[in-house]
Amino acid sequence: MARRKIKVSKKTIFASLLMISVVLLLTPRRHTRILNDTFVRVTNPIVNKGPKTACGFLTLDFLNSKQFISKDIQKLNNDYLALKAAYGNAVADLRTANQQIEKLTKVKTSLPQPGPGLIFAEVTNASLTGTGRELLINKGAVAGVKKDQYVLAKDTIIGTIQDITQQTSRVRLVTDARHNIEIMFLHDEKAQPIRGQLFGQGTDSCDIPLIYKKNNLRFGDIVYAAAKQGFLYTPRVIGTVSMVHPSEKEPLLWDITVRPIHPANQITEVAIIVMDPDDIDG
Amino acid sequence: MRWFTFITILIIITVVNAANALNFIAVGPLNVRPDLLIITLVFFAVNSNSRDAIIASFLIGFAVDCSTTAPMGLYMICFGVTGAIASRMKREWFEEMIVSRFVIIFVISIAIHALAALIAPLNQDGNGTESINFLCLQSLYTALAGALLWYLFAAAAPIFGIERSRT
Repeated sequence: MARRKIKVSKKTIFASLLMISVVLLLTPRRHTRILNDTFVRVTNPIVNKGPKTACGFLTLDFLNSKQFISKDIQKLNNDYLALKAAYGNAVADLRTANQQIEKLTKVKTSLPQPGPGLIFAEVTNASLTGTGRELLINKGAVAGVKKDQYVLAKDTIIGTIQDITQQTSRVRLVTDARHNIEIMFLHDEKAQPIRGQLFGQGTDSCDIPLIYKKNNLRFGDIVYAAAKQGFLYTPRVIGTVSMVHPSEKEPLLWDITVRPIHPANQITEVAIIVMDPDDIDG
Repeated sequence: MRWFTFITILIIITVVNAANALNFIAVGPLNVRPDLLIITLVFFAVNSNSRDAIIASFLIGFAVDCSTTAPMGLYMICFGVTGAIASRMKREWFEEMIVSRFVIIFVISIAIHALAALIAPLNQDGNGTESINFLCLQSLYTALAGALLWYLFAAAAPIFGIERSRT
C-alpha cells in the first residue's frame, strides 16, 4: 500500500514555527536555560580555546551570574555555596585532625594546644571603590584585634586585619588589589595539597598565578586559606574556582580566577580569629 | 534538502561561531567578529526552495538562541522572519556581483538586529542588545566575510542536496 504523503503548506510551517518561537520567547528563562546550559557544558572545552575577549556568547560565568538566573535559583545557589563552604571546612578540619592523630600515635604530645578564639564584630562601613575592597568593623585593639589576623564571615575567610585603632579595625578583603594570601587546594586526602598565592583583582574576584597545568584543577574547586603559624590553625574556605584556563603568556601554567563564597556587599557581621584566646578582652 | 547533513554542519558552524578561536580574526577595540550564522542563513534562504528555507532559518535562529545570551526564541523569530523574506529574493542577485552580495548580507544583518531590538522587551529576562556601533560594524564585517565565504558555501552546496549555484 502506498504511503500517504501529508502535504503541509509553507504558510502552515511558517506559522507553526513562528508560534513555537513566540512561546519560547515568552517563557521565563528558568524554564529554557537547560538548552543554554547543555550547549555551554557540551561545547565548553572547544569554545574556550583561543584568546578570551568580551562578546555576547554564553560562558559558564554568565550562566552562574545573577543576570541569568532567577531569584529562586539565586537563593538555592547561595544555600548551596554556604553548604559547600561548610563541607570544605569540615574536610579541612578532618584532614588536620587526621594529621594530629598520626602525630599522636608516634609521639605523646605534652599539653594540648588551646583552640582559637573568635572576636565577633559588626561591619560599620564598606569601602568598595576603585581597586580597594575594605570593610570597617566596630572592634579594635581594646578587644584584642591585631594586625594580619584572619577575618571570617559566614564560615569563610574574607580578608585580614589591616589597620587598627582602639575601637575599630579595617579589614582588607581578599579581593582587594593590594591583598595577597597563601592558599591551597585539598584534592586528595593522601596527596600533598597544591599551594599558591591568591591575589585580589580589585573587582569581585581574585587570581591565582603560577599553578602548573599538571595539577588537575576544575571549575568549582574549593580554595582554602592555608594554615599559618600564629594566625590560622586549620585551612579555611575562601571561595571557589570560577574560571580556569591555560595561561595565554605561559602555556604550562593555569590562569585561575577565584570568586569568594560571599560577596563583600552582603557581609554585615564578621569574626576575627584570635589564636591565643587569652588576648580576647571580655 | 538533506536535513541530517544540514543539522550536523549547523552545529559545527554554531560552535565555531561561539568559539574564542574566532577572536583571532576579531578587529578593533570593540572586538568585532563576523556572524557566521547570518551568512549561513542568507545562503540557505536564497539557495533552498522556500519551504526548506523557512525551516532552515528557524533552525539557525534556534542555534543562535542556544549559543548566545539572548532570550530563547528571540533569534528564532528574527532569523525565521528574515529568512522567509530572503527566500523570495532572486538567486541571480547573489551570483552576479560580489558587491550586491555584500550589500544584501549587510542589510539582512541590520534587519535581524533591528527586529531583535524591537521584540527583545517581550521577554522579562532579556539582557538588552549590543550597542548600535557594534552591531553596524559587526554587520559590515559579516557582509564582507559573507561575500567571500559565499564561494565556499556554493562549493559545498551539493552535500546539502541543493543545486550548486553558478558562483
